[in-house]
Amino acid sequence: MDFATELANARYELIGKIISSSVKKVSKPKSFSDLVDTVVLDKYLGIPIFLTLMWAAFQFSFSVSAPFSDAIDIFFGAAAEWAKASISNEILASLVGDGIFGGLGFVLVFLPPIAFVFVSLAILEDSGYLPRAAFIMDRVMSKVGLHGKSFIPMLLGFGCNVPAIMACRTIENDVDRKITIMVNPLMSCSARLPVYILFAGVFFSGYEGAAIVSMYLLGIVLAAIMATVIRRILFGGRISPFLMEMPDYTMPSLKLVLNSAWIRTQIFLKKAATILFVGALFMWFLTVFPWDATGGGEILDNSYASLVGHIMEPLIKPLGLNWKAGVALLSGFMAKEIVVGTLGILYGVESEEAIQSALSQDFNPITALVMMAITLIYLPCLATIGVLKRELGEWKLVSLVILYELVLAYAVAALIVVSGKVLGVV
Amino acid sequence: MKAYMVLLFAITLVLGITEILCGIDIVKINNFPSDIFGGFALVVISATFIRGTFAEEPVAYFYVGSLILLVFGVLYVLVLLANALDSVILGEEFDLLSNLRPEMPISLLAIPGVHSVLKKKETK
Repeated sequence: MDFATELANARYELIGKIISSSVKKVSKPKSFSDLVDTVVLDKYLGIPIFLTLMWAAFQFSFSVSAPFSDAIDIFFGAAAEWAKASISNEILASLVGDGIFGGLGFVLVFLPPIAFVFVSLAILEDSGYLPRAAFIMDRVMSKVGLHGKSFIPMLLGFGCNVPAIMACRTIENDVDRKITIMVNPLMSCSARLPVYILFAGVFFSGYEGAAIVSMYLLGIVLAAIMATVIRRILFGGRISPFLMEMPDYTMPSLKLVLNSAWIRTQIFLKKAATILFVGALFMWFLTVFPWDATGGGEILDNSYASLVGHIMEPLIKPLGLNWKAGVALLSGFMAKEIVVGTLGILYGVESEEAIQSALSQDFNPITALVMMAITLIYLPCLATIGVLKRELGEWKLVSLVILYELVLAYAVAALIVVSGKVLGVV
Repeated sequence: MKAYMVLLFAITLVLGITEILCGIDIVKINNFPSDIFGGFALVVISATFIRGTFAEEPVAYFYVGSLILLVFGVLYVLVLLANALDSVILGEEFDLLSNLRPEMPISLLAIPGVHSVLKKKETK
């Protein structure tokens, strides 16, 4: 038992003695909060109820926000088309259409789910349930080197790592908070899903669900391993004891919930206007320049993106991937959703069916798994790196996250390739 | 109250298991949700009600079970409205039947429980 736990035990022991000598107990009906706690902290029902409420929060965040994301997507798509049709200078038209409107659209399309995640989180916080959720999950999380309060940010990571990392602010202990932040990018965010769906659909027909779920499980297992490794090697010490006074349940106030969600969403908006926007312009530059050689972005083989892809090729060739996969993965650094779109551009196809037949020429089930696993692990996206810097406070730790993810991605991909060869799959 | 809890247990359990069975393609019912996680949520709600009938304080389980049931009813109404709005935005046809969920009507059965919660909160 460590000092903090002993101190807490001694404190509660003393409180108990004072209370028993000075307070006369009278029979009083349980308060509303006590009654609710009887159920939500129940030995058997506690975790299932928690998972059920988390799933409801997920549904709310991603299903209810979908029309707003689509509206933003359509608006910026139309704005990009309008700009390209209205501006006579080709480079300027491409910059405004593909670079500015295209880039902004790609970034702002994530604004609704992020805002809705924050609304869900604020409702759970304001109602008083969130401390109970952390209490319920403490035992499970402490076994994998994480704190009870780490569970909610980890779960939110399945939606988007950006708000998930920001949600780590609820963890008071600095070491626990930093470890949770550093392994959060391994949780498979929804942006990786299009890549899984594409490759699972082409190469694991009939078993798409299992292939996709395996990626989610892989992320969870790797996060648990890395949390243990980071704690042992980098920070040392034990997980801080989980001490928490449970507040009474209250009816969430609409004003407070919206205010709290807005404050958190503003952080994302500021980032969208800075880091993400510049990143989008950079990717545009790589795909359309040198202008004459690419024919204004039409001949991608002559672009700087292709140059970078060919530089990367020797590194990824042993994993069975070609330069196009390299460029797609590189573009995913901006936002993981772009990986599928980039593959479409590089293979010169637009429809999903056409890209599927094109992929089956360059990939097989093993390299498809490699591509899925690398997309899961290799690099946090630009927005996540921005928020990692903000929340970790130092580039050293951010660089460490990037480095361990790259090494881990390569190691896992190599393991898949070797396993495939041993099993005689390819 | 216990009899009502048993009724809620039976309804949510049957619907939950059916959603799960449809989700794993064992059962196929037209316009019935194939949703493993949604079915799991209903099974958890049913477990809350049935555990309450054997507990020292059944009213606590009645409160919580009813609240979660209502949360899901409201949630699916919001999802339906969002899907309808999405169809308008994308210019696609909206299929109302495939968007209806059994949780919507059965959440009305949670009203007595939620009403008790509100009364309890007022008299706290």
